Amino acid sequence: MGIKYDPQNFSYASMTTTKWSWKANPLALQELQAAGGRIQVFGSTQQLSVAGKRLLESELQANVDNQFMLEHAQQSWQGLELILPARVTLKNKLHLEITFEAAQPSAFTMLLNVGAGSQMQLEREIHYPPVSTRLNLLTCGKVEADSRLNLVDRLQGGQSPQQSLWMANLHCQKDAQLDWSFYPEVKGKVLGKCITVLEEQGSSAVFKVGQFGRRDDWIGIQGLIDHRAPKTFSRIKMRGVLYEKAQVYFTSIGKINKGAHGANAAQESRLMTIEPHAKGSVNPLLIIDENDVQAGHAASVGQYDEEALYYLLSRGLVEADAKQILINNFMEPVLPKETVEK
Amino acid sequence: MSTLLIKDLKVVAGEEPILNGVNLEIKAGEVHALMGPNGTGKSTLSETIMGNPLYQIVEGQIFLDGQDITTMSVDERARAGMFLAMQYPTEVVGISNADFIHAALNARNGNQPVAILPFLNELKQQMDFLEIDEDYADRGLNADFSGGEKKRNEILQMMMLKPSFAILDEIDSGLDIDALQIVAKGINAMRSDEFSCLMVTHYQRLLNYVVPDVVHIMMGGKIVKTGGPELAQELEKTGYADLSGAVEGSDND
Repeated sequence: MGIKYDPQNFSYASMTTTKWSWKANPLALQELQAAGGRIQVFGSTQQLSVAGKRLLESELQANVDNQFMLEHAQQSWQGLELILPARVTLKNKLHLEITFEAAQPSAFTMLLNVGAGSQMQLEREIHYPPVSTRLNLLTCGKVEADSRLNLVDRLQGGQSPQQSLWMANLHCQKDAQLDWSFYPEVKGKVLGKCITVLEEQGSSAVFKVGQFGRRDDWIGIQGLIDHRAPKTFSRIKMRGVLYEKAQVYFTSIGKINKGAHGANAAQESRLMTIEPHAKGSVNPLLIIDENDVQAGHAASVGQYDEEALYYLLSRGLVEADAKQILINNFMEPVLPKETVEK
Repeated sequence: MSTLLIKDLKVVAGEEPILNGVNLEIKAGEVHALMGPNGTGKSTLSETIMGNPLYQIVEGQIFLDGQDITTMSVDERARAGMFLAMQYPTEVVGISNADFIHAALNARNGNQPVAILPFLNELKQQMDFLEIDEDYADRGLNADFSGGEKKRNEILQMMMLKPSFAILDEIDSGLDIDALQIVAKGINAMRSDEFSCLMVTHYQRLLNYVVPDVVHIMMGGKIVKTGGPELAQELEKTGYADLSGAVEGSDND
């Protein structure tokens, strides 16, 4: 089930001299700072805020069985900490670009804390160096009570195949809302494990993945939403389009623990294979330990809807254009319109 | 010119023969109605003319304005001037109605972009004519449209794409009387010397609003009787039972 520790696919090399930089759109950054928030670079855990350090320690303790995270913890800690204080609503979307400049393997960590009653939109763009390398990225975050985080994550690589390990654990407190989209627009191998914990009553999360696999890309993504409290709500939507010899494997897990009565979890994972050598699988899982819940899942791996293709062709569109419309149509539930590939 | 000529058309779906030698000529400017009991091949004929790959032609030919289109692909036939209003139009959420019609016009225009402003003006005009709310231009193609709205949208596409030959496959099914009148208004607005049409229908009521030049009755995969509009009125009274003897050895010329 889910992602496995397989050193043949993903291993940790020694990482010593990671070079990276970050920037954000000035308007949103100023708004964040004016509200008492900050983005802070850290080069060791000593430089983290007290809350950030506590969050990191608690994640490591809670994930002792996650070999990837243990390996990550053995590297030198470096990354960014973003703090939005309580009762602040940022009007501007914060667009954060993190660029890795060197070809050597890199380990990067980001901590997020959205204070109680606050709201923000955050778009993170991770830029890979033009040559092949290996990046291991860990995100830990907390969306505090009555707050709302709209998070978009994009991995953007150049022409060279990369190897990426993407781990993210986000916790939602009472009545908090998380809307999280993940677009690994990077070539090569991507292994992603995205966990949301709905730890207090009334919290909700939507997790979306949009993936285009090309050439001999190998992508394995697991989305897990863990309902630990009553009246929690979750949706997982994963969609991928596979070209050439790409392989994409989606696992979506809705876990409803004992006591999370009134929880509502649904998930839908679909892959469209465009070419005969592309392959993939979708694995929806519901793990339910409570009676009074609503849960469901849908999954499919297939090609074009032939009937829809015929309809479009019958109006005179050439086959390539008609197929592109169907690809856009397929990805529409998970992608903002402007990101649909041409 | 918009003449359709079908010669001795025999069609199978998988292994099953559906059409057993259809002969039909629809001249420029004519509207023909095709009637018949369920399962006699009316929709198969419509789909075969359009080129649906689910149906294989085993014998016979289809000509549009003298050009043999029997081996042409679906999109080539559409660009040659053909249009099929489908019985169950497909929903495609990812493209707006307006964008789709514009893309289809561009394709029919040799991929030369059709100027957007005149296009939008005409779209608005035709939507007003068909009493379609202007919001429907920006909604996904047929997305969450009711059955009647989908049928009206088929007529809208036909009016925008201006085919020389249209097949309307049960365009009247599921329509209330008001919607039927609007759809009929759209079909009548298309009538000209440059347009011909085959309407597949089960009911006389559409023909009260769109009076056909010729009515054909299809049974057993063949056209068994051809006449004027009065033929449909007779059928309302007698049903198809009286025609069952005409199936064997019929000649539909």
